[in-house]
Amino acid sequence: MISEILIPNLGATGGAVILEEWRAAPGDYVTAGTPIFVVTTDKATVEVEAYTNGYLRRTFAAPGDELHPGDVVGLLSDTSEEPLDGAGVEHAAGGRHTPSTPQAQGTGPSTHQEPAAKDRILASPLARRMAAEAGIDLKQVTGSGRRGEILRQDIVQAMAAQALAPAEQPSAGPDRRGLRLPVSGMRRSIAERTRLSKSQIPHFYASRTIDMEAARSFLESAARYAQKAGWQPPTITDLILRATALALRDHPQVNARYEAEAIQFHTEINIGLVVGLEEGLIIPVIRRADEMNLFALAALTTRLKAGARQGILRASDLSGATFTLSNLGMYGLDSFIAVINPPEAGVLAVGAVQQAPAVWEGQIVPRWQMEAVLSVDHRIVDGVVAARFLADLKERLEDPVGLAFEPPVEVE
Amino acid sequence: MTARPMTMAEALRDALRLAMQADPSVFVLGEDIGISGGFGGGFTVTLGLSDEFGHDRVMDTPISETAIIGAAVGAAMAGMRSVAEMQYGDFVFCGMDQVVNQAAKIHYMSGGQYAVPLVLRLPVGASRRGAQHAGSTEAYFMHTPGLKVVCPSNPYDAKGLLLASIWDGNPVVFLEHKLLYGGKGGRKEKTSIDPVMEVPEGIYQVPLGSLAVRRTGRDITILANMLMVHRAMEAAGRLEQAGISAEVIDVRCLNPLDWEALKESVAKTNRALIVEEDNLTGGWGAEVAARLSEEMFFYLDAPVRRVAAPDTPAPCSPALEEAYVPGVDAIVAAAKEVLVIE
Amino acid sequence: MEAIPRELALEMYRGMARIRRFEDQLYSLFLQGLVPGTLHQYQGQEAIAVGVCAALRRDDFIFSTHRPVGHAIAKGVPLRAIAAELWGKRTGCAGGKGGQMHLVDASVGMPPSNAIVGANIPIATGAALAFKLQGLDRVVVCFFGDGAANTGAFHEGLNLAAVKDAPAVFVCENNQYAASTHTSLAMKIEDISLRAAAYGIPGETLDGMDVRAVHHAASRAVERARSGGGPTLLECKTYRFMGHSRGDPGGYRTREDVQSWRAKDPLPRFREILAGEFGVEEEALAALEASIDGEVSDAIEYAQESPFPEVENVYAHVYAPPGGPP
Repeated sequence: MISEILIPNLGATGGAVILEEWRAAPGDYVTAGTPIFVVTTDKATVEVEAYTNGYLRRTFAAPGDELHPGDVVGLLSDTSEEPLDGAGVEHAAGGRHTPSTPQAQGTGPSTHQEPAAKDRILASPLARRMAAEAGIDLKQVTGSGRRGEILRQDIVQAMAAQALAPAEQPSAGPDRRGLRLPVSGMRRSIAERTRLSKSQIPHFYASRTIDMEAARSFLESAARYAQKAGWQPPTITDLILRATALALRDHPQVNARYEAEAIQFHTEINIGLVVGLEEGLIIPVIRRADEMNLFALAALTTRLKAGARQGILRASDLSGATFTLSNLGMYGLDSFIAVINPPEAGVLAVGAVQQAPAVWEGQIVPRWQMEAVLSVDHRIVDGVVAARFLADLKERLEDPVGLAFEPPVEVE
Repeated sequence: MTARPMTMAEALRDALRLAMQADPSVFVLGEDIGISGGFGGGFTVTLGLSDEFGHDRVMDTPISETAIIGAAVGAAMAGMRSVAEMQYGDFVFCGMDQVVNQAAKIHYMSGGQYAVPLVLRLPVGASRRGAQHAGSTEAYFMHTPGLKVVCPSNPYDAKGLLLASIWDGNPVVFLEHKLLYGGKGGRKEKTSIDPVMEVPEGIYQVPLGSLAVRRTGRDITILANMLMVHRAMEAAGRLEQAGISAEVIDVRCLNPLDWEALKESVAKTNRALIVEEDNLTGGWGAEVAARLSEEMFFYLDAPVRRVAAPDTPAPCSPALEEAYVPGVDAIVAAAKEVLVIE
Repeated sequence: MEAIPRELALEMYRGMARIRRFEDQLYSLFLQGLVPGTLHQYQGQEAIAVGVCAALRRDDFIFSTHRPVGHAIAKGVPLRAIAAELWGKRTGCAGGKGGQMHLVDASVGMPPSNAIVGANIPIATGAALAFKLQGLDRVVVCFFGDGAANTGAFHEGLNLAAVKDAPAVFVCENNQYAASTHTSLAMKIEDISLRAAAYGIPGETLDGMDVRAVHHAASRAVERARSGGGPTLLECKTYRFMGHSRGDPGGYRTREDVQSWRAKDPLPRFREILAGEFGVEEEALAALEASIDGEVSDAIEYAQESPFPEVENVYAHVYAPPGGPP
């Protein structure tokens, strides 16, 4: 009889573990209760024991592979010779068979395998382009081609269906009891992204309370100024955007991406701004946010939010984010913890700007305050970095005049 | 300008006659083209010209393709505009050096000091005479920088393009499909299409580097040249009945080729089917398909397909030739395949 | 032999010396690795180029081969333009587009020389026919070697020229070797001029090392062509002192063979005649030679210092601009 060797749930944040080494080699006989392999979580190194006796016949992961609870990493069999019949091949988590003796290696091969052939979507170049432009997920489209390829007419149909969809969407109300709601493209996308994020990225959280007194009066001045000039008045979100952008400049590790063997620091600071919609949320991207001044940001976010609500944003508006900002303050939340949007390194969640008791110069006084919670990818950003980032952000928001200043430009 | 019905042979003859009348530097050379009481070349195109212009300007030559083409090159460099005829297009290979190494390269090698205003007329296409009298040949010349390649499908284009070619100032390989010559004024080919149409009687030019849209459509662009244009038009008619709207483009000039017009059509229909009588591998269809995939990739809803002769020499038996030369059925079937029907 | 004027004699010597000096200098520079590309040298054959071209007008055409330097110099292409072309420079006679084997100069009647052996023969026939058709009294000379005399193009070209009475002179420079193949291995006959009879045209074999003999024969043939008498085949027996191309060490020729032909070198031979028969003083000859040294050095310096063509030039001249009806 064949038994699978699985990664157990070790309570690691986000679930992912790294295989450190095998304690047995294919061909060895293992007894229940003895360690068979070793993994590291974000917190500790854990020896995993075999839960049954048997011969270790095959391994599907090598040291350095990133694995998740439930992944099959090997096969045990009662006897040393019985045929495996391809058992467990589909479970190859790291995409690797290691028929030879596994050695403890510092560097493992890249973990993420290519999707199997049957996952590949066949679509004509024209159909792909149209789908990208219309924001249609090809996985949702049925192809009418001979081999199931998606063709232009299929995208046209999908676009027509999408146009009809909102009218069919049931509105919020007590009538939803017992309703079976088909999952739309947006909902499915959110579901997929958040699931992926939580399973792949080891989240770490840090929070600060930010005094917003100065920011509030600063914004009043900015609004008066804007009105006189005929510009869009900046909102709290715009202010936070600017502060975040500048803070990211000084703390580039929070504006980076984790790749298999490297941390890739981004060349631009593109901040995604979460916009809530009736059916879910959408995240338009403010590109090169650090190069835009407060009023430019105000104009842009106004446009993007309107575009998001009207559903007219283009693919280019929705891609390329290196960090995300989510402001649920308008819904009254004191604070919340956001899910990182992969492949970014962090997301900043801010709550309502509201009056709360604060200690100010030895007295307890009501002060306008805001809770900021930073979620970061612990693979890249450690506690200290997160703390420094938040301190920087707090400083900028508490002395907001600095956010209106531009750096000096060399005059020839 | 008045017009009268002409076959393609008559139209070509008219072009030569008018050109020689208008321009004393134009002269014609080839085998059996001017012999008094003779047949006016392999396909009657030069019939009667020597009576009007004499045997110096309508020059009969020995069977010497190298010398015919070489002399045409030399004469073109020394002040004449040469129009050389190969009795059958396949014979051009006897003088290929003069076409590819000489005519095509002289302007370039001389840094622009000498030009070669030369038209090389080649009767092409399978016509039940066997493998050495059937070649389509355009691929060799489209591939050679320095040459231009023209291949009309009807009398109007033939006359206008020949006149344009004579005065183009460059070596032009001018392909004339045997089955399109028509009957009047001489021998007629078996199975020829014999298109006759109103052709203006004076001098006019059809510019080199132009395509002609023979039929507009929405669903698929069919590109064809010479005889295949006629087959494609018939196929388009049948496709219409099957609910498919085909656009047929007459690629009457392969070099220079109006890529913009071609791309515009494919941008509209998103599908392309090329029909050529040439052998499949390395034919002009291959070049068009490559370019479309490079430049129109994101407009294609289907792979670019080609219907061509198989990669074999041309067979002679009528039964085999029918299978060899792409027919209307093959074109219809290919178009339907491209459209994922059947 | 008919007398030739003293001026003509000096001019012909000057022409031969120019070719010899230029080619010798190029050889030396090539050995030093300073010449890009290959060379097909003309030393030993000068009497033919010079003797023939001295019988031509500026507007007569010459068609040459892969070994064109001698013909180009003799026809009047400036030394500077030739040298610059060999160096691939913008100032070369073909703008750098032709190279050593494709020398050209429309202003002196030299279409681009031809590197396909024999291919220039039918082209020359065509040009001659064109002159005839246009009622011009210009003639065409086509130079080629013994190797070309065996090509189909030779046969077709001469036959067509003959049957149409083309005003052409076909000059075969029989230097005994086509690359490394001796003529005795390539044909059964000894004298290529015999083949003229096959086309029904006059043919002559002459001493290609004697510039006067060449000139006289060429003058007669040119006159015949110009007056409508049709083409002639002149075979000039000569020798190539250098290898076929610069990459050729010439191991297929014996030392004695080379030496015996060197003894017939047209330059010292004619120099003696100038000094003796024409009474030209030694100082004059030395001065002439010195001035040629200067011309050649100047041309080479010019070539080396000239700029290369711009890269965009790759795309130039593929097609000529169109020309409408008259």
